[in-house]
Order: sequence, then structure tokens, then C-alpha cells
Amino acid sequence: MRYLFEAIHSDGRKVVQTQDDVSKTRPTGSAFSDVEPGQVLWFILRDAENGSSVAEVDLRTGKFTVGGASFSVEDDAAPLRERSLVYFRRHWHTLNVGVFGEPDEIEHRVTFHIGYTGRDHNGVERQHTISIS
Amino acid sequence: MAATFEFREANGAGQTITNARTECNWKNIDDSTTAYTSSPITAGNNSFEKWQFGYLSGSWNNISNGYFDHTAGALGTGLTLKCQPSMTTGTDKLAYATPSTTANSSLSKTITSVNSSFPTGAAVVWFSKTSQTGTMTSSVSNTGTDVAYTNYLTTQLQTTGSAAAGDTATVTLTLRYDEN
Repeated sequence: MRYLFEAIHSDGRKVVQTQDDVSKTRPTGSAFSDVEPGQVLWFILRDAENGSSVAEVDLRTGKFTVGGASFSVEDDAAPLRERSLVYFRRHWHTLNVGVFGEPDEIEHRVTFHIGYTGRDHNGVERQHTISIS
Repeated sequence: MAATFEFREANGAGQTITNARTECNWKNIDDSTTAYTSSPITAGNNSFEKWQFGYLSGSWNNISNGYFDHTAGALGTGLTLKCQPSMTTGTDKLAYATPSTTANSSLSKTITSVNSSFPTGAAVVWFSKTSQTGTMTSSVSNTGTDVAYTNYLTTQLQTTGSAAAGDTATVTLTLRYDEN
């Protein structure tokens, strides 16, 4: 994987994903199986080669940080509450049909999505995510 | 080991599964081995259906948000591409049938045109932890030593007499899903 995550929970527990992407508690679960989305305070996506932070989200404030710049997508006057982490990898498997003599599956593309859900002042659940290619 | 994905294909009356498929060429034979150039479709006839599906193994937590469609490459005159309908309930999954060249009416979604708004309008794909014909839901979670299957992503190229001889244009099919 191009990016590996680090999830810091409210009780201080840290889940750090490795390339094996294996849960410490579940036989064939991924590392994310060990994450409790509602308890995460800070979620960091790191470059798998050099460990540098690529993107982060602070679940306490709803702020994202990318390339050292922090920003919010919420209304300052009406911040969301009960934020819960959202993280997934979006996979595209592409088959090119009709290429004689060559395997058709020509691409497997993955984008990484981080963010959160939360409730607005009307109690309606909202979701904010950013994607990293 | 991190999650791994492959396309698989079923052929024959016995639903014989071939793993790790990397091609989806429509042809006038039901197998996973013959080159399409050796079994071309005669204009006015249809291809054998391609009964393919996705298979996920390794370590994973949740899979959801599946979509499948024709995303690039225009098909010529006299060619119609059909696929399985969108999953809206568990009963929408296709039960396997021995592939034939008869126009399969269960392939009710027409994907002849490129879907440039993918995944809007694409066939929704569901998942099962038992098989490609097992109980399907829009998302599945790994509760133990689970693997996951998509519903059958069955396609058939149907032709009329006006279809041009020779290879079709290269067509791109895309399967998309979310996983963590």
C-alpha cells in the first residue's frame, strides 16, 4: 500500500498499520479491524516509504491537514458533534476487453479516503471526507 | 496478508470455476482458455455469456459500495452489451445457468454505451461471504476467517447481421468497491 494509517484513540491506544495490514485481534481482519471509529481522536495517513504525514484528520475539531496546511469544511458557527472516523480504500479494477494476446486486466487503482461522520445542529448525520490518490 | 482480489469465471454445466481471470473476451465458446480469435462470434449471433465475479481474500474489515459498468470504448453498429441487473434486493442476484449463445433475458441491463458518469447509473454490486450465489448484502464485514464474493458480473455481447467483421473496439469494464 502506498499509504499506511495511524489511529490514536481517546484512551491513548494507537493502531499503526503495516504493509501486512493484519489485525492484532482478529485472524483475517485488516489493521482497521482494531480501530474503533467513534473513539479515534486523530487519524494520520503516512507515506509508506518515508513515514511522512500525507493527510490527517482531527476528530476533535473536524480539521484536515494536508501538506502542512490545515483546513475545515464545517460551518464555524455550527460545528458537527459526535464525530466518528471514516476511512476506506476505493478500488477500481479495470478490464480492457478485446486485446488479443494480452491480459485484459490492465489497471488496479486505489484511492484513500479519510474523514468523519457527525451530527449537525438538527441531529442529521453528515459526512465529510477527502481522497488521496 | 493484506486483502487480495481476483476475478473468477464459471463455465460449463458444472459451474467449473477458474481463478485469477485477467480477460473477459466475448467469443463463440464457453471456456476460459480459447482465444477469442479462434472462436469468433458470427454476425447475427451472440457470444456465450461470461459468468465472472470478484473474489476477495486475505485481511480485510469491511467491503461495500460496489459498482460495475462499461466505462470506456465505444461498441460499433450491431453490437449490444448486456449485463446482470443492479442489485437492489438479495433476490436480484443471478443464479448460474450453463452458458449459451441464446440471448439471456436475465441480463436486463444494457451497457452498450459508455457510462461517463460512472458510478451513477452503474449496476450496483453486492457481496456475500459464502459464494457468488450466496446471500448477498450491500456490504459485508469480516467476522473471522472470511472471504468475500461479488454477485455474478455476467455479460453477453449480442450482435445483429449489421455488425462489422473483425475485432470490436477495445472496451473497458470497471468494477469499483470500497474496502478497509
